[in-house]
Amino acid sequence: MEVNHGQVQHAKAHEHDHAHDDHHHEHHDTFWTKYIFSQDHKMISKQFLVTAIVMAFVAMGMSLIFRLQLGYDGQKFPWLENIIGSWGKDGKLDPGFYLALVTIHGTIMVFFVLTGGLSGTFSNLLIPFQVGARDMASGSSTCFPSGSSLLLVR
Amino acid sequence: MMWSVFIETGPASGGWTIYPPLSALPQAMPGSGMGMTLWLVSMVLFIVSALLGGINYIATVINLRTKGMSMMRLPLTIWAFLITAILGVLSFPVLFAAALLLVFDRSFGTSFYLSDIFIGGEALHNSGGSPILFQHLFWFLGHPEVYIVLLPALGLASEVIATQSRKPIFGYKAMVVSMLVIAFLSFIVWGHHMFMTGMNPFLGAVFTFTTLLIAIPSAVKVFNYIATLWKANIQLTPAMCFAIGLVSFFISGGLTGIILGDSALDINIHDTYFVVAHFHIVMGASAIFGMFAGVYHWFPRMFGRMMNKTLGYIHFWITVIAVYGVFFPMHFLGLAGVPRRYYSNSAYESFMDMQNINELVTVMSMIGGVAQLIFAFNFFYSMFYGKKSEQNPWGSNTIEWTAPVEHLHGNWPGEIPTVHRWAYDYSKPGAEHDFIPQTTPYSQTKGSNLPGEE
Ligand SMILES: [Cu+2]
Repeated sequence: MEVNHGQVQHAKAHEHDHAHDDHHHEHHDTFWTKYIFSQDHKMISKQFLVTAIVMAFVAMGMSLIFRLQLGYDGQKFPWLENIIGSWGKDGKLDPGFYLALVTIHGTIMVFFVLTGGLSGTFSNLLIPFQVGARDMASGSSTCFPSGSSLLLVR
Repeated sequence: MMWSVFIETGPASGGWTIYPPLSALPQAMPGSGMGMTLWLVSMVLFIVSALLGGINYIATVINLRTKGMSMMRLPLTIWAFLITAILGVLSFPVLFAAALLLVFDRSFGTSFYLSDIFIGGEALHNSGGSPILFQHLFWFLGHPEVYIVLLPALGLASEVIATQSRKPIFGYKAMVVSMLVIAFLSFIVWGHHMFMTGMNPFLGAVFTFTTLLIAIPSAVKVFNYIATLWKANIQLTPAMCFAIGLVSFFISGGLTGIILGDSALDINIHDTYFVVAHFHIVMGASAIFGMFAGVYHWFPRMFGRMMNKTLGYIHFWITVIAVYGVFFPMHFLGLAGVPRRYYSNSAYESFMDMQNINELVTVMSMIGGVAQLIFAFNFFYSMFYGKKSEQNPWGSNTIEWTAPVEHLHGNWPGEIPTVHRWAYDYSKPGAEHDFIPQTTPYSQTKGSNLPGEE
């Protein structure tokens, strides 16, 4: 039943724990190390989730704007000009911008929300928690995805 | 990429699949200039981060499992994340290559994707390339991408459904095997996106065959979910509602997938709203519902507080009605031949009598959009003012609930718990409680042990 391979790994992980514990009694987290450049898998997963929710709202807002054009073709919505400026001149959605909205809606939803957001949030949260590890195998390389996706998504 | 919204010529507009030549020639349309460049830069960064993340997930699952956590004792969530990460590591480099060649075509005058192009009566110098090559490269990533999105959602749903049904997941091994089979098959079906590119009809038949094969492991998963729910003591939490919603979308989106995967049928409805309806239900709504199920279920684990249940139910019911309200009518638009990506639905006489369906879809999408504000409020309010959570609010077996509610570096104070059993001992006959955590040794549950467990 027992897989000895797992036990060997456990022993290794265990040595690592003590080093880890000692290390972290000494220092206190600053705002930057705790929230921005965190290497803790729980904080990284929260960053991913909040980013994904924000991005999902952006992409959903885009879809609502182009749905307005598709459902009410030919009607004018003067308030559009307040949201998207000259792309919505006289309350009509610019055809070129319509294509852009469709494109960016798809890209954000598929790649940033459903790939980055979904895997990023729950892989980071649950893999260490459910396999029984102190953290991810490499703290800094999980930090990079969340950091870079934050950057490029902005 | 988001910056591109603010530049003069506007963001990339060639569709999310960025097919050349539209995406390869800066002069093709306004968005193909700066907007496309920014799109490519952000995608390269995204791919790098996805690869690093994927390697890290695989390394952690393989190397850092606690004592007793053999592969066949892993919760299905972890199996799903592991397989997803493997898929990502194998397929994202192909998109990277596709994007790189596109950058060469755009900036350095190469002709990987371009040949015999005339603009304003003048021939461009490019020759010998093929835009179809891009489609092959893109969809070699593109189809696994569907499962990169879907498998984690299914994994989360497996966990939520088993826990809230208070029943062991039906067919654990079948679930693992079907995920592996789906992952393997997803690499040999990309051609079903390209039936209209003039491919050899024989090749179309091959891709139809491999595509329809995927229906088998998918159906195994669906039947296992239904068998788990069958006669269960169902706890209808918001997370459970969303997980069941996912199963519903997976069925209704999967059925239209059988139609689209068949080249003879697909040719008639290619690039219509039927396709839009199909992938929004099976990939969009399913994955989003899996994500909602995950958020509602693990919110206490993430933030130490509970989300409001009533708001969760309201959010669920409006969303599920809105999703079907938006995407179900789209099937009929597609069958009537309305093409996707068109700016104006009223430009053609024959589509005029479909306009009321389009209006319905738009109204439903607005309702669905408003419902997400309920979720956002619930999420951010509960983060700070929600009811404090107990240690194990759902009576779950997996070991993340044995760690303290407050987050620590290193997750567990003292030793990491040892695992003695699989994650699905719910309602075991003869057991004291209706769940036995993975950390309970068989020696403490003499009354409920099955033959061979000691
Ligand atoms: Cu596909």
